[in-house]
Parts: sequence; C-alpha cells; structure tokens
Amino acid sequence: MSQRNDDDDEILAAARAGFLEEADELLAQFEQCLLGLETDPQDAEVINAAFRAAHTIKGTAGLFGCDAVVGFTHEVETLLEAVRAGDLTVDEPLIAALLESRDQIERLLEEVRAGRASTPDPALDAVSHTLAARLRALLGHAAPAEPLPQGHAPSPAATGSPARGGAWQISLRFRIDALRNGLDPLSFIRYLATIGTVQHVATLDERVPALDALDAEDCHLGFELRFVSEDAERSAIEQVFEFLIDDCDLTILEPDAPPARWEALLALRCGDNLEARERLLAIWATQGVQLPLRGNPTHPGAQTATDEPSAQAAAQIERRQTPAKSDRRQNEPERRAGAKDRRGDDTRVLRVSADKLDRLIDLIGELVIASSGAQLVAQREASPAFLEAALRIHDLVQEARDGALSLRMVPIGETFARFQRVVRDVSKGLGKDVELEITGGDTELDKSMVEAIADPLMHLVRNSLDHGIEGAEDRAAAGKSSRGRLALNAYHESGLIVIEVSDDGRGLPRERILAKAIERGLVEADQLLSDAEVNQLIFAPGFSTAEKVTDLSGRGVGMDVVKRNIDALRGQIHIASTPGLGTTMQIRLPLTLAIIDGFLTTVGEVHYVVPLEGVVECIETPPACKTDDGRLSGCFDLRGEVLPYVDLRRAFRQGGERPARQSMLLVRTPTGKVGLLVDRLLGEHQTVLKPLGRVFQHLPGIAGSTVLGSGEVALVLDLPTLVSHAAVSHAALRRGGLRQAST
Amino acid sequence: MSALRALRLDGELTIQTAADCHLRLLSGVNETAGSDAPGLALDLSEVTGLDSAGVQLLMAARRSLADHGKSLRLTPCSRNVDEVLVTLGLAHWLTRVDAPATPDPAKDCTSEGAGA
Repeated sequence: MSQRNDDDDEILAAARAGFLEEADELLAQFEQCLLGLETDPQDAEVINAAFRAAHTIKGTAGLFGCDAVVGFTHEVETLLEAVRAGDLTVDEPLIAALLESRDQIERLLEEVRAGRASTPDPALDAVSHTLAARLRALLGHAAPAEPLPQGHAPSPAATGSPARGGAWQISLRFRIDALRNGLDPLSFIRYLATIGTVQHVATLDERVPALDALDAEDCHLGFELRFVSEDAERSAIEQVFEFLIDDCDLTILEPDAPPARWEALLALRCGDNLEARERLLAIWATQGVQLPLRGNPTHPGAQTATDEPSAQAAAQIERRQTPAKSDRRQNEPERRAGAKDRRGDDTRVLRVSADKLDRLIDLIGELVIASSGAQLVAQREASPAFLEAALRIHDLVQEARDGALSLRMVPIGETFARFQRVVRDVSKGLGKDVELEITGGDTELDKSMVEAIADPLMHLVRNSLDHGIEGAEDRAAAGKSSRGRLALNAYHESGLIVIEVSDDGRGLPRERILAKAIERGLVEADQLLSDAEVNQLIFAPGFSTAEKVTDLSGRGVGMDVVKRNIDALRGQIHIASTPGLGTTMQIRLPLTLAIIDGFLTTVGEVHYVVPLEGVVECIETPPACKTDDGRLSGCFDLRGEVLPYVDLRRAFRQGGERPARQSMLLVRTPTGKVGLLVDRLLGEHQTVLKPLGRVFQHLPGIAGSTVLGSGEVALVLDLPTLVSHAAVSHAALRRGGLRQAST
Repeated sequence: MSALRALRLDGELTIQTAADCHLRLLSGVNETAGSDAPGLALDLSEVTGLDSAGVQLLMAARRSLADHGKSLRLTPCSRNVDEVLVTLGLAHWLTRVDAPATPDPAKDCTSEGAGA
C-alpha cells in the first residue's frame, strides 16, 4: 500500500472519502438499530440490520486497510452474530456495550479520516482492547451454543419423513468477490438453521479450481440446501439471504414448485452441460428431491440426453401436475420483480457534491432573473408572440427551479433520529426514564438548514431533559406517569417548516424567571409582562434559573446561542408553557434560503418583495388607515376583525409624496394577520434571494435583496421582524408621548 | 507403499489467514504430489477456526491431489472444524484414525458435539 503513484493516491483518497461518508451513515443506522433493540429486543429484522451495518463497515474498512476498524468491528459483528443466531439475548449491558462500541468505531474512523490510522493512538487502542474484551465476555456469558442445529444429518432417511410444510430448495452460487466483501456463506447457512431446519446441505466444489490455480480470496462455492420450516414464508427465507443478493445467485424453490421450475433452475445452473446436469440431479436426488419424471438419477439420461427444449419438457411434466399449482407459479415472477425493483431504488440514488448543486441553483437563480427580464422586454415590445414565448420560458424556469430546490431538500427525520441516542444517554445520566416520540420525520427542508438546526435542537432537547422533565418521584407526586415524554415534531405551514420540541415536564417557572430577570436588571421590577414575554427572557445571554449547574445545562449558555442560530436562519422560536403540564418550544424556519416566490410591491421608487406564502389577500386601503397621516402603525377593521397594520413608508422612513390611492397587502405572521400599507401592488415575482452586505445584515425587517428583470434592486421583507420592530417603535413613540410622525 | 504424508495446520483457517494457509497447503500438496505417498493427511486438531474460505482451500487441495491421483484425508479435526464440515454437508470428508469408520460420520459428530 505504500508505493503508489499520485493518480492512484487521488483515486484512493476519493474512494476513502466515500467510504467514510458511507460508514457514518451505517453507524447512524447501527445506532438506530441498537436503540430499536432496546425497545424490542426480539425484533429479528432490527438485529439483522445492525449486523449488516457492522458487517458492511468491517468489509469496506478492510478494503481500505483500516485494520484497527476491521479488528474491532469484527468483535462487534461476532457478538451480533451470536445475537442473531439466538445464542445471546439482548439485555441492557449488551446494548450499552454495543453503543459504546459504536462510539469506538466512530473514533477509529475519525483516526482514518485524519490520516492517523497508520500510527495508532495507544490510548485509543487500549479502549478498543478493553471494549473488545467486554464484548467477548458478553459472548462468554451466552449459554454454550447449541451443539448443532438439528437435522443436519445428510442421511437419505430424512427424505422419508417429509415435513408438513414440505422442503424448500435453496440454490446458491456465490460470486467471486463474496469472500472479499466479507461474506461468509457459512454464517448464512448457520443463520438459516435458526428459522427452520436445514435438512441437507450440499457444498459444491465443481467450480473450485485446483489449489495452485486458486486465489484464496476468490469465492467459487455453491450450495444446494434442503430447508424445512413449519411456518417460514418465502420472504423470510429471502430475508436471510437479502444481504447476499449482490454477491450470490440465489434461487429458491418452494416445496410444491412445479417441475418446470426445477427444469429452469437446472438450465440456469448447468446450461447445456450434460455432465453438470447429471451431477446436480444426483445431488438433488440424494437430498430427497423427488422429481416426477426425470428426478430419478438411475436414468437421468431420459431427459438430459435429448436436446429437446426445456419448455417442451416442462409442458410434458406440467400435465402430470394438478392445475392448482399453476397459480402459484404465476405469482412468482411478480414477486421477484418486486424484489428487483426494491434493489433498483437503492442503486438509483446518486451522490452529488453539494458544490455542484449550489452552482446549479445559482445558475437557475440567474435564469429566473433573466427570464423576468425577457418577460419585461416582451411586455414593452407589446409583441404577443414574444410575450407568449417569454411566459412559456418563465413557466419552465419555474419548474426547473422547483426541481433544483427539491434536490436540496432532505427529510428532517435523520436529524431527529440522532436524538434517540441523546435522549437515551442523557436521561440515563440523569436517572430519568424518558421516552422520545418522533413525528413528522418525513418533513423536508433544505440540507443546509438541517445541518444548521441540529445544534439548536440539541440544546433544546437537553434543556427539556434536564430542566423540563422531572425525576420519577416528582412525577409520581404530580400524578404523572413515571415515564417522561419528549416529543420531536415537524410539519410544513404556509411555506415555513415548524419544528417542535415538547415535553410533559414541569413547565417554565415563570416566577423564577421573572425574579432572576429583575435581579439581573433585564426587566424593571414593576414591569407587566405577558407569559410569552417572560418566556422569551430565557433567551437572554447568560440567563439561567438552574439552582445547580449540571454537566448538561444550567450554565446559562445555550439558549441565547439557540436564539442566535435560529435568527441567523431567519427563523423564530416561540415557547408555550403550562406549569405542571409541560413546555413546547416551536422553531419556525423558512424552507430554503435560496429562491422564494414573492409578491412585488412598491413604495415610492423602492421595490419591496413580500414572501408570497405570507400573503393572504390584497384589499383596498381601509378608511381607518387614511385618516391619520402620521401613524407608523395602527388598527383597522376587516370584516369585523380588528387587525394591526404597518405603513411601510413610515416603517422604513421613506419620504416622498403619498399617492392618492394606496393599497393594503394582508400578510400572515406568526402573531396573526397584519396589513402592510404600500403604494402599488405589482404582482407575483420569482425572487432569488441575495444576502445583503454585512453592513445591512442587521436591518430589521429586511431579509435580503433581489435583482428585478429590469436590473433594479428590490428589498425582500422579513415580515416577523418587521412587525415586531414596528410594534416596538410604536410603543416607544407612545411611551415617549411623541405621537408624531417618525422622521 | 509408503504412508500418507502428514501436514499439520494450526490457528485459524479463515479468510484472514487464507493467503498464508494457501501457501502451506500448496507446499504440502506439491510435496505429496512429488512423492510416492498415496495422499496427504491433514491434521486439523489444532485449527481453532474454519470458515468458508478455509473450506474452499480444503476443496481446492482435494482437487489438486485428485488431479495427481492422490487423496486428502482429514485426520483428527478440532471440534470447530468438525462442526463446520458437518454444517456444510461435508461430513463424509471426516475420516477418523482412532475410531473405526462409522457408516454415518455425521451422526457421530453430532452426538460428540452434543456431549461436549
């Protein structure tokens, strides 16, 4: 591995990066499985998945010569194999050890990533050894393995006692790389014996070359298995070999498979090779396969010597079969096709570097602008044909934009899933019993958002676990079930994604927060605050009400960081808390940061874009807004509903003549509907959001800018901050007794 | 007629050690082929682990020997080896030096395994 030229190194490095990425995903899967086992230790599917994950990590690590990873993961795998075989039962120490092992694998992979794998860290090595010893000890506790899965005797007598369900024929031919990929046919056969009885195994050595021609890592093995099970279904058997599917030709014949299928299998395995056919038929015969016509090896020539097409032969046999068998046969190809489709799904996923994607989205952004420009020209030229063409392009660009953006969308479920472990570990550390409930994992949002949201979520979850959910005694005293509940939920709401972290704990201690805030001078002692305002206080920097600082939270850092992170994503966080019943923290985020549908308006010469998803309706300016010229904001009556409004001209301190006729845009904000008073409404506009320069980044009410088709710049409004800022300025004006126009 | 040639393998006979075992087996097979011994007796009593790769090696060795008209005999095998061979339906490979040949070697192994 040491002498390679640069090209090879490069390829290797790229492949290694892919491997590391894949390993991360596998580790996440592995962890999921372990946590799943904790709730249902019997779940064979989960055990399998865990085994597969560990196995694949080991296999690929081996390809890259990551010996430390291979060695350690092997121990994990061995343990899991025992679990899978039913020799070990899943209990808490086992899960704990496996979880620690998972972390260890992650650390070892980290070494590989950092390029330190060749010079192993002795400390890390020591951990590997201790953990491996622990795993082995766990294995040792297992009851001595059943001496042998029953019924292995290849005695022909077995065929004399056909099981109720009849025997399945499983025909396996391993591909040459199976061993190299870390697959050991033996373990699959052993595993098969756990779901039924393997009546007869024939290991085929026909394809095994002579010793001097053999590459010891190639696999030339084939197997013919006779398998009996009372209740196993085809799917259960297929599942056993699911992991092999790429490295093995697998054919399963059910107990009452019609002779035509046997004939097909024979043709598949042996082609026209008569000798091979006879050998396979002989093997089947010793296995007790009773083929009505030509299964009898005493005169195999009957069907092999003739070169008659197998279909014809099949037809002959078919006649001897009861008609009932044929429907089963018809179902067969469908089911197999289904399995193939599922595999197809896996392979249809492409890995694309995020940079390329960003570049594409940038380009489409430019395209959106250019297309608006073309439309504008078309309008000016007043050429219907041109306009029609421009509109068509516009529609296509819009579709392309949606498509490109959806490429970046990922379900939030993966992020949520990580919290299984966090909740488990933290609640164990705190001696609490907490159950995590995840809903809305399918909700999609921009990949960059997913990454950015993970940290704030972590803080919120820890906070809930530490401060929110009470200990078992307190819970019992409060009449709650001893098991705490923490819920993560996500859903879409009018162009936003809403993420909720809720617990059924004690709720926020309003009095304590208020006292602390007064003590710290954040609020005046006599100030009257709404619950929501009190709750927002916990986001103040350095704020903590915890009497004791735990290693999790209580240091007063965290919540302000959460708020800052969420602000940076143009999101908001709200807290709803009921004393004694629990707290819900709600994070609202825009779906994407790149391109939005906007509604274009003007005030004087300035263009403003309002995110379209927030627009409720456009109405004529209510009389109430006209009377008082100097107001920044006020209230008006909309069909009997009293709603606040903001005068954009005032809010952004724009001068200029107010036109005789103004319009009102009714928008939805988290705090309710709000009217925006603007000069003119220009209609929908696709907006490519460009961030403002650093100087303008903290302008309240402005989320960014965009370029119009005409080349002019428009400002994109950030409704929530606009409204809250207007409310604050309004309140300040009123408090100061300055009921005059802001200058 | 001279006796079987003997070769003793120990440790693991698995994919991890396959390359090494391959060499040892190959030299054993070649020596046997070059001698007038009727076959090779493999002592697997010290083999701690056997997997499919190991079994494949044994198969290849058998084939090589057969090509030279020689036989491969597995004299005492460790319990692990027994178990694997039985599981893979290769119990007929097992020939015991110390026990009289049983009509059904697989059953023999099974009962032995159960007793341990």
